[in-house]
Amino acid sequence: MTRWHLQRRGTVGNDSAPLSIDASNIRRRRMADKSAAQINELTITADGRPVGLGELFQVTIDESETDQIVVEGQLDRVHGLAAMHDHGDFEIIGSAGHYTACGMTGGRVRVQGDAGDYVAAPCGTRRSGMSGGVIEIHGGAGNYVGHRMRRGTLMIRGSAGTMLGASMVAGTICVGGATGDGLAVGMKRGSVILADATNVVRQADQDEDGAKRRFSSPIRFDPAFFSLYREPMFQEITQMLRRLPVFRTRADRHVGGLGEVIFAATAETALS
Amino acid sequence: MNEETKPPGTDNPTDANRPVEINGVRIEATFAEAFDMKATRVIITAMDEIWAEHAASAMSGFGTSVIDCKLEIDIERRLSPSETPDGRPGIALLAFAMSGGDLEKQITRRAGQCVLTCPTTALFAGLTDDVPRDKRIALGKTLRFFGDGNQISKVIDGKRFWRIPVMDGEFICQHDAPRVSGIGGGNFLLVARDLHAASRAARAAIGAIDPIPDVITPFPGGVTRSGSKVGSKYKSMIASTNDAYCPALRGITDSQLADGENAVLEVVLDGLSFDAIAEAMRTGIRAACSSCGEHGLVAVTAGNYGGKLGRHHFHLHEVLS
Repeated sequence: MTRWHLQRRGTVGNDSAPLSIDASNIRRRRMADKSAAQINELTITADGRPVGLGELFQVTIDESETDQIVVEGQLDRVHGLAAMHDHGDFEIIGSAGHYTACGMTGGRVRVQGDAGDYVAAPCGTRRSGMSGGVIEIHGGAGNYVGHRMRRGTLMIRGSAGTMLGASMVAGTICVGGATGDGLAVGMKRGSVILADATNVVRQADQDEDGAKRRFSSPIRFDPAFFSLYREPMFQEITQMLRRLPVFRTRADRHVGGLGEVIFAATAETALS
Repeated sequence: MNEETKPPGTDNPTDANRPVEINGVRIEATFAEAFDMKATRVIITAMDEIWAEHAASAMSGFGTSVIDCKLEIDIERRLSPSETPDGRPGIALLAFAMSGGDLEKQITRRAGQCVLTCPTTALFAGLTDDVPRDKRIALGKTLRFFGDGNQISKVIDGKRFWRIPVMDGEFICQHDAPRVSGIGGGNFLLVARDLHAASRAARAAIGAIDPIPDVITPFPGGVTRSGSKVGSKYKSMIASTNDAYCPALRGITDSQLADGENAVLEVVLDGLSFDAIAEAMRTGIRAACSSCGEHGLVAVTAGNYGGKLGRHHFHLHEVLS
């Protein structure tokens, strides 16, 4: 097994640093059996121009108990990290750009900071988003998280932006913080678990007609299946749901969807 | 593995035939003959031990012998919440059948009628063996259809679970369970002066065997009085009473019982390995002898078919050495 460590080359005070890097070519499968020199020559795109991976990242290769890719440094403009990730661990130390773990099929992706838009969404022109594995985001995430997600588990300790779980087909999204507008739009199946549903309930109350079309009436629900998840972050996020009355609504009823949004009834949601 | 499985040293007739006694109980120089079977372990959990017990009792009911039940199934042990997949109290059951098809048919039916129906329960695979798909037994894979399209699948840590809506919430059921090779038909016979002594000895043996993992004793209370031989004078019967050990038939048939041997009870064991059955036989026989050796238990023997039918031979003297 191999550990690839990619350190983003110095960006502090560097005015010529690229504004946008498409790093979706950094894939375990493409680096396996390649030497450091060959990996340095892998093509990635920076501001629309093809460049060698070695120009932007310093690559170190070590033996490891599991296949592991570690990307470190200023990464908020590095997009497509862990795209199509299929096996082993992909660790992002820092905040990632957009399309993190898009099209992921297996393994585990851990983002130590925040992630941008389209986490676990389809990669490129593909139809389906994430179809397996586990994503842990220790910070917050942007818009369209879990768009067209098909399978797997996505956990966000912080908040998520608009259109969370839009057109989701299956899988589980678990969010510890607040969520934006457009939750579960076009959702067919799958589960969205919210530790903080205050915004969702407030928005639904403000747009009662719209909410009626998209969400079924919330009903009391015993989320027994939570206990099957042994992920510490999942346990942490759902801790509140274990102590409070839990409700479930089905979405998006506007398109005949049977996805589920599970949330706890807090004093805030009751009063909002 | 085609060769006979037997402990080392049994080829030496001097060793095999030497007289052995435990606490005054004669241990016969014979062996128990056991067969290859297909096996699986399932775990039933519930809101509390009482519901888990009800489901496990129902599922293991009418599961004493493959002769007519097609499945030998029993509770292996009770599990604490920390030992179960969903952190609730649970019970592990072991099930054995003569073929993979029989095992699948019986487990699926029993899961549907005895566990799905029981309030608050969930059902999980109890073995972690990585076996091919065609060697896995359907659990939720079949039962999910009860959800009539409202069932929800979750893949967690590479395992698929089904959430099937039922009237008390959701029945959670693992997709399938591995099927492995097991051994059925390990046995020993407790020969006693009277029925009270035989019963006491049998209960002592079963009490000692109970905590041993990977083994079950599927008969009522772990014991049977109707030990059988292969075949019958009636063509429709594949097994009939073991007349050699029926006290009432002494003098009529070729009895193996001497004067003063008036009651015999048999402990039948199924296990996931030769060693597990041997350990259970050793523990059970020693417990029976030490508790009843001076109180009516006369001899311990074992049932076999001359070594022609089953390839696993548990020689009593070797098991107890």
